[in-house]
Formats: sequence, structure tokens, C-alpha cells
Amino acid sequence: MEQEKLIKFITGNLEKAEEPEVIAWIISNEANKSEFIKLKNLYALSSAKIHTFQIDEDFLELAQKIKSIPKQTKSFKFGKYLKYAAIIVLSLFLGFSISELRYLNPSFTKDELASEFYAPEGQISEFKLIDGTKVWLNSGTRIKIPASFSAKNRIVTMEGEAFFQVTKDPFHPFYVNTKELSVKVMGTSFNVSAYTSDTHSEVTLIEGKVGIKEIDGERVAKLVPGQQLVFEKTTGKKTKEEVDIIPYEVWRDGKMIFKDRTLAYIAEKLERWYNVEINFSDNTISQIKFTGTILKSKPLSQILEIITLSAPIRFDIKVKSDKKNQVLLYSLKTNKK
Amino acid sequence: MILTITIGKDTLVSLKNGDAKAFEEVFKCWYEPLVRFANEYISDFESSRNIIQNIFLKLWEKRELINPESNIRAYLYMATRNACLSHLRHLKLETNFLEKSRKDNDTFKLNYEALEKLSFENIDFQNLEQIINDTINSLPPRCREVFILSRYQNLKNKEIALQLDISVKAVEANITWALIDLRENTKDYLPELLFFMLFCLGS
Repeated sequence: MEQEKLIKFITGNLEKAEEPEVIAWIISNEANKSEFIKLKNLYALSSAKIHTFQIDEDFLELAQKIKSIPKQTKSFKFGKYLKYAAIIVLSLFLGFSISELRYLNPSFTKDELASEFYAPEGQISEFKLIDGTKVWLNSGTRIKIPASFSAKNRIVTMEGEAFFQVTKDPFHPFYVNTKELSVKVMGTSFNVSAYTSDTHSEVTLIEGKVGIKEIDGERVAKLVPGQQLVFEKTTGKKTKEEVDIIPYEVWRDGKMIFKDRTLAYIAEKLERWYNVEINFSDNTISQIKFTGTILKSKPLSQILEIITLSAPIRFDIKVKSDKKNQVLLYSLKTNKK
Repeated sequence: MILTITIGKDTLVSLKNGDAKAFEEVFKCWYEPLVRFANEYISDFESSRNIIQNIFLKLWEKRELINPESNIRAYLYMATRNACLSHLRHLKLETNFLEKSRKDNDTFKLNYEALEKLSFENIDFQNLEQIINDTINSLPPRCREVFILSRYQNLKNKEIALQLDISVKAVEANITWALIDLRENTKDYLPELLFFMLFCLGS
């Protein structure tokens, strides 16, 4: 009886609700634990090759990784940057309104706005440009591709957050323009995040090289992998710092990673993804810091529940038929009204 | 039919000399089993693929140090074990409370313990694999079919039941049967520690 449940647990077939019972049984004594360990390891070891997944593709992926390692690695740091010839992630938090578009670039008149892509709240979309560049749009992101866009004239303008995997062409740089900044890329992958509501712009470089200048011409910075440029929209202050780049890549897979971020920051992201309005009853709880990963496939209520488990916070959701649902986060100690 | 895979000494000599074809052969031989193995403990297919690719990356970089006489499979499994343990430790440090409920954490803790106990120094891999494969091949046809679908196609019991048009209970019984058979037949080939445990169980 227990044995069948144990094996269901090991093979990943046990109902979630039954897990605590089996786990309790396993840890209740050494003999049970031994039985678990033995069967678990045996099941894991009994793996064979039957080509049920893409070995060839994965080998090519590995071959690419190997090719991109320089043969001479005398200078270790240099090698690290050369390793990935040109993969870049930019993350810009800034914005512009559509009427301002023509000011960004003189050649960018309304007639030329051939196509516009938009990913609504709660959605991620993905498409390819004619030069082969791949683009992922995060929730609430708008990107404009001028009619003049071609493999030789690569300029796009955007608002929101997008990840670009740019086809390499050193003779024809790829430009991503936002209200404040222009990012120049020779080829590769980068992430741009430029939401109107944000107070600052961020350019985060994962791999490769990128040059950033202010839209009116002043050069701001060149980045090396792992560096981030923060541009304060109001003061114009620029700071360069080393950051953890993972959160800027993983949103494409429907994950949000937060390291030591305030609830206010997290709420902003949740608002965009779940298309809700999040309010705080007082500022102190909005400043509580969290670390963790959110899977966007989970319902909002589940994420809120986990937040309430880890901090003295409660939440209410008001369903509105005519506009966005409202979420109120309030402190456990104070009454909500 | 599950086939036992082997890599000859010649291939390892070629690999040591920088032959990309030999490397590909070794990769294609063990990549999939290693990914499956890793995934059993870390339950994250993408991370498992990444971990194993990095292990092969290191194998290629360090190819000159390969001893063709040694058991490369044991090395690969050992490296995978260590990388998975490190991955699980990292998960714990990250305090992924938002993603992982407490239950999942318990499961990861148990997986960590199980993997930690697995030592490859004492395992005679060639024999162990042969016995596992022989055992699977000698299971009653339906039982073998069920086990293969579960273990190698990653199908859930419900999906297997649907596919074979049998009850979920029957699927469970068949998997139990297969694992118990495997346990019996491999007891001499698993590390002493595990052997000792089996002894404890018998008493």
C-alpha cells in the first residue's frame, strides 16, 4: 500500500495533496528513508537512450558554445567577453507617446510607419523582422517598424520591454530608439524595456557590446557584459553598475525573477502582466523586500497568497466589470479602512 | 528493446586527440540518459539540459586529460551528480518561496539526500546498466511497455492508462512490479551503502 504511493511519488504521479503524507512516511524512520533513497536512485539510474528528444539540436547548441570559446585564453577576462561574440541585453525603462515619435528621428514620419506590433497586457509575443532579427515583446509593449526598414537600414522605435536577437551585420548597425536613448548594436541579442510609467531607463548588457547615446546626440556609455546603465529621466543622471543579468533574460520564458526588490517594484510588474491595478494601504508595506521567482503561468491569487504567507500582509481583490480589477494590499495590523 | 550502450577505448583515444566526431559519439551516447537522470532530482528540464551541456563542454575542454582506460561513464555521472547537488543547494539559497511551496522544498530536500548518498566510485556501471536493461527486457510485455512509457517517454500514469486502454491502477501495479524487480536484480551492483540499507529493510 505505502509502497505503491511511494513509487507514485518517485515517478511523479502522486497527487499534490497526497505528498505530505508520503513525505512524512519517508522521514518518519531511517528504514523508510532508505527505501525511498534506493528506489529513487534506481529509477533515476534506469535511464536509456531512446531518442525521445532533440539530441541533434542540443549537440549543435553545444557545438556553438564550444566554437565561441577562443582558442587562446591567456587573458582570462578578455576571453570572457570575446566568448560570446555578440549577444546583448538592454533593458530600458523609459517611454514616449506616439505623437512624439517624429521628434525621435527626422526620417520617421507618420506615413512611413509601416507596421506596428503590440503585445497587450498579460501576453508575450514573438516575431521575426525581414533582416532575420527575432523580437520578443513583453506585456504592454509597442514597437514601430518604419517602411524604410531593411537589412541595410535597421532602425526601430519602441515603448515597453522587448528582447532582440539581432542578426549580425557589422556594416549595418541595428538601432533601437526610445524617447531618451538610442542604442546601437552591431549584431546579437538584447533586451529593451521602456514603459511610459517608469521613472528611469535601464540598459543591461548580457553578452557582446553595445553603445548608447542620448537621443539628442550626446554619447552616454559603452557597456561590457554584466553591466547596466541606469538613466534617471527627471534628473538625467547616469550610473553604470554590475548587475545580475538573469532577470532580463527569463521573462521571455514566462518567469519573473526578483532579488531583493520592493513590493512596490514587484507590484508594477504584476500590474502589467495580470492587467490589474495594485494599491497599498500604506507605504511601509510597499517597501518590504522580496526575493524569488514568479511563474507567470500561475494565477495572480496564488502569487498574492504566497506573498501574504511570507509577510504580515493581506489582500483583497475587487472585480470590476468595466475596468481593471483592483487589488488592495494592506498590513495585517492595521484595518483596511 | 532497451539496448546497452558502450563507448570503445578507441573512441576515447580519438576524443583525447581532439577528434570532434568521437566527441559527438560520446555526447550522443550519454547526453539523453544524463539529462533524464539529472531531471529526476532537479525537476527542471531546461536546467537539466544546461547542466549536462556544460559537463560535456568541460569534457571537451579537458579532453587531453582523459584516461582512455578509465570509466568515462562513471566520470560523467559523478560530474552530473555534483552539478545537480550544487544546483539544488543554489535553489535553497535563492529561497524560491514564491515559486516553490513548502511541499516542493521537502521534495527537493529528499532528492538532495538521495543524490548525496549516491556514490559512483563503487558502482560497476557496465554491469549495472546491463542488468537494468536485461531486467527491463525480461519484464512481461505489458509491464515493460508501461515502464518504458513512464521512464523514457515521461508519460504520467493517467496518460499511459489512456494510451494503453488499461486502468490507472494497472499502470501503478506494473510500475511497482518493474521497480521491485529492478531493485532485486541490482542489489549486488549498487553502492555498499545502499546494499546495507537493503539489508536493514530485510530485518
